[in-house]
Amino acid sequence: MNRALVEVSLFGAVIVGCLLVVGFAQRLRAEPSPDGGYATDRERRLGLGDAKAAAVRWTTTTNHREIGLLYIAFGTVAAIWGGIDAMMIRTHLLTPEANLWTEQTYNELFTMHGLTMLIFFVTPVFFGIGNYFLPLLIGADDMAFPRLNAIGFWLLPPSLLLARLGIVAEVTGAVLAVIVPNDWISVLLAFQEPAIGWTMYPPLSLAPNPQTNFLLLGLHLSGIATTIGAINFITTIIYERDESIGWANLDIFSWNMLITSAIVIFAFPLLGTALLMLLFDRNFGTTFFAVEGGGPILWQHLLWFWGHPEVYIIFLPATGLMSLILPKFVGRKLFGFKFIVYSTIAIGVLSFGVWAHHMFVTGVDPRVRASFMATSIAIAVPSAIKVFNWITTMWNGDVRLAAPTILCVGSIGLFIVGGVTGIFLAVIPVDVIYHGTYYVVGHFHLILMGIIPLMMFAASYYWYPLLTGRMYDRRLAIFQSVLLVVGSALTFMTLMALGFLELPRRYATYPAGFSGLQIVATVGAFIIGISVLMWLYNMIWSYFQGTPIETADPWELKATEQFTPEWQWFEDRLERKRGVPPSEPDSVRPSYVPAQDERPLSIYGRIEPVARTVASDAGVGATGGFIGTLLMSGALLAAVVLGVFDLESIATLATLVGLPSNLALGYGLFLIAGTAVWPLLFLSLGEYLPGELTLVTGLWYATVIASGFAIGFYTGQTGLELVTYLLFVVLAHWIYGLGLAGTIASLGGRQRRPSTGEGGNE
Amino acid sequence: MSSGDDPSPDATQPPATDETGPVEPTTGSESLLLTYAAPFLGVLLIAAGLPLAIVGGYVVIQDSVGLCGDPSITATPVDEYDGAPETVEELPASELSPAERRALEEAIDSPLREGTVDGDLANRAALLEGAIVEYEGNRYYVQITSQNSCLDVEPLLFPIGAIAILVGIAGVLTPPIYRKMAGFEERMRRDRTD
Ligand code: HEM
Ligand SMILES: [Cu+2]
Repeated sequence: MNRALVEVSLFGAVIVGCLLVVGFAQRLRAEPSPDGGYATDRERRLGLGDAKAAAVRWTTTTNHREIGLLYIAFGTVAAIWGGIDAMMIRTHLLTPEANLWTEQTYNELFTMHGLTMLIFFVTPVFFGIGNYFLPLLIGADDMAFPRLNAIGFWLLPPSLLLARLGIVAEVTGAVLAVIVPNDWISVLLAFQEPAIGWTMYPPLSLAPNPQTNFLLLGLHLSGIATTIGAINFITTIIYERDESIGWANLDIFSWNMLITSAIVIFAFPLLGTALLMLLFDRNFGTTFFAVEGGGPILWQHLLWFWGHPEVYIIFLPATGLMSLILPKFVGRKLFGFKFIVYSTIAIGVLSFGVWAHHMFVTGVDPRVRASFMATSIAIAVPSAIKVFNWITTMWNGDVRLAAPTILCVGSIGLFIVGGVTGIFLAVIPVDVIYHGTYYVVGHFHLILMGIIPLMMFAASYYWYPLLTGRMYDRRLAIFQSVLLVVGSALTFMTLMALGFLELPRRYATYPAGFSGLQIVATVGAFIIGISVLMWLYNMIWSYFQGTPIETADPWELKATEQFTPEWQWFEDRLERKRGVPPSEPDSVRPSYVPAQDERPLSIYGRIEPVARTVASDAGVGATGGFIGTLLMSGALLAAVVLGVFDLESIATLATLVGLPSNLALGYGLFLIAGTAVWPLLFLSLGEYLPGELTLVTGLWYATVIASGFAIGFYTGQTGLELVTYLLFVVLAHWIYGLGLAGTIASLGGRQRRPSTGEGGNE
Repeated sequence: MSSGDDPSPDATQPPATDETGPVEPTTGSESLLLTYAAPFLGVLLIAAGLPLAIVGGYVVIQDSVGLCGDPSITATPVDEYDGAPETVEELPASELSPAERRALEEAIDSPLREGTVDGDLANRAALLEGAIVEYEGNRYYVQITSQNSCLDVEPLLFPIGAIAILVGIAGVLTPPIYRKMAGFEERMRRDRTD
């Protein structure tokens, strides 16, 4: 079968389906009902003039909300395109041999699927949500640079077209070939979607397919667009906030967009440069990535130095949405707001220090490799903090059944599986075995699919009333959400299982023994596909036919004091336009007390108080950790004297970060960890350990981490020796916990918050 | 959700929100089984029916459309490799079968360097490995890129899949159908009692 024709037809079918839904919904709306009914308020006969006016309006707008909608629409189109690629990949894998499409086609499919999803779907949709809601959330009139904003968006459609020109040319060629001789259109036939993998590793990416040049140009253009958008977000958040919004009560989504944008500023110029170098290699005979020049490994370093931060660029906005939406549906304020912000900053910084974990199998110096392993595992800590905070937010909450709730809970579950499997992958020996298998595909899709699109869907439901003034079909939405979660779990857990069986990925064929699991994965993927179509239908249909809402507070946010500024804006608008009076809830219970900071004048003045709190929290924690670690060392020393604890295990600690095994170095690391890592965890996790007093909490905390220590430092003791070892480990940790918590309590760094919320940050 | 007139909520459909907040999506009188379980089974059937129908349908059309059996080869000029490695086998052009020769010519002319072997593939083993062929003065590295083997499954899968999809669609549409039917019966009863 001709892949390009199939793909374009499927794409066309989805578009036609949407148009039919629109047409049908509009017709129903225009027809007065048989019992006399209501007069239709506006007759929607689209004339040529209207169409022209609409086209001019939408192509020239600089309004942040309209540009946001354009971004979202563009991202949705890209998602459908990339999704069709995914469905075709899975269809191809139905049979062990490459029957339905050829091997070449399979390679094209997964290359363009990956690129379309990562570059043209995720970032644009998040930037769209940011454009629409961020100014509303922070009380700004518009983005800081409205025109630049429009330019940033309008670079995207040409860049997508450039990147996927191959398929357009192929289809045009195939259609023309029916009527004109092949010679005339050989230029068109020479285009072919690149089959080089989305990472574009040389020397494969140096192969002479002209389309690869256009792909690189398209990617470069989209990088420029992304950077422009990021600059705009940063400036908007810093300079355009309303008087009443300080750093302390800046909402979590804006925080995430700020940090994401900061990563973009550092990562994307690098990608752009690397792409240009590759283009030069391809067309002007430079040898940056040729074996006789810089070598293919250079490309891998450059690509992943962008690529790993990119993972967080697409992931952090999703966590921002989760942190924003989840509390609304469980009636509780986001737990540990401050620490979620810290963890986001930590991820932003750390994300630049882990790139080489993608290259464990390329023969990087083992010592360097080991330190990348250490940082890669460390980056899991801030992510874990987020998960803990989400779970605690739900705890004791008043969880309400709605599509966003299902999506949030489902994606926390999927993210935990995806995250934990990622930690394993960061361990070199495991990675060496699983690197090229479906284990990796399962792992990253659990995150890519499990949290990113799920949060976009959740946001689309949560804000649907605000966007359209109508309610979506809630039954269908609940059904669709469940399907999506079930489908994702089924598909990607199955890929995980295939990975455990060590089936290599990126092969168009596989041994027949795997076909059972492959079919299960394909069925799961089709479930996802069907649910996405249901969502599309729901969004379009409800836009015309959904029941109009009667209040600006469709989620009862006022009742828990979570009626955030964007809804306030909506309420004003509803009142002005439709005369809907503001609603009053029956009862109000506080879910948080916002900190109303004075807004100082200079940037320094604005950042300084935040930095001070961070520093003082961190400082108190570090002091406590240091004291605790010293006390603990005493206890461990006693164990050494008794002969139940082997100093060697401290010494080998140094090898974890690529240093030689040495007692002094190992102890140094031990001190650093005790001073920096564990107190930070305590400050953030301590919240949900039992105990009213900090000291009690400290003991619980110490007990929990003692179990890990006992396993990690175990050196083969048996019998009584083992018992003594365990006793000393627990004892030493209790001492540590008391030292840590005692210092913190006496310096007053950590304050317990009442279970309903947090009282400011001082 | 389907029967509606304009903005104002109609009688058969409860409003989505009232002044205080959302109205529960599923009212107590509705059966969970018909609202969620039946469509869920329906989706499962569709999702399973799709692969069955695709594979079964493909088997039916593959022969008539000539989708299988003809492997494709690529021909890359050897000078692009900076001198051919000694280990690659040389295949004299005279040993090529007519079909292979035609495919080679096609590949040399094609911008993608690909050609389809439409007929007897005499040197399958050598070409699978990759071989150097000297043809009209130029040396090419020729290799099979796709075997295009024929798919071998029961054609019966197609109807089975199609039926599964149809039943599945009915399952997905159960809730609105059921609601329509319930409304219909209600009206009939009212008519009769009037
Ligand atoms: C229905 C949902 C999806 C399905 C069934 C699916 C399936 C697949 C499959 C089978 C591959 C090829 C793996 C291989 O053998 O190398 C793949 C690759 C990839 N997918 Fe997806 N995918 C889905 C959604 C997504 C989403 C939402 C994203 C990103 C936001 C994404 C990003 C990627 C990337 C980056 C690759 C390239 C992996 C590589 O080879 O390095 N996918 N996908
Ligand atoms: Cu990474």
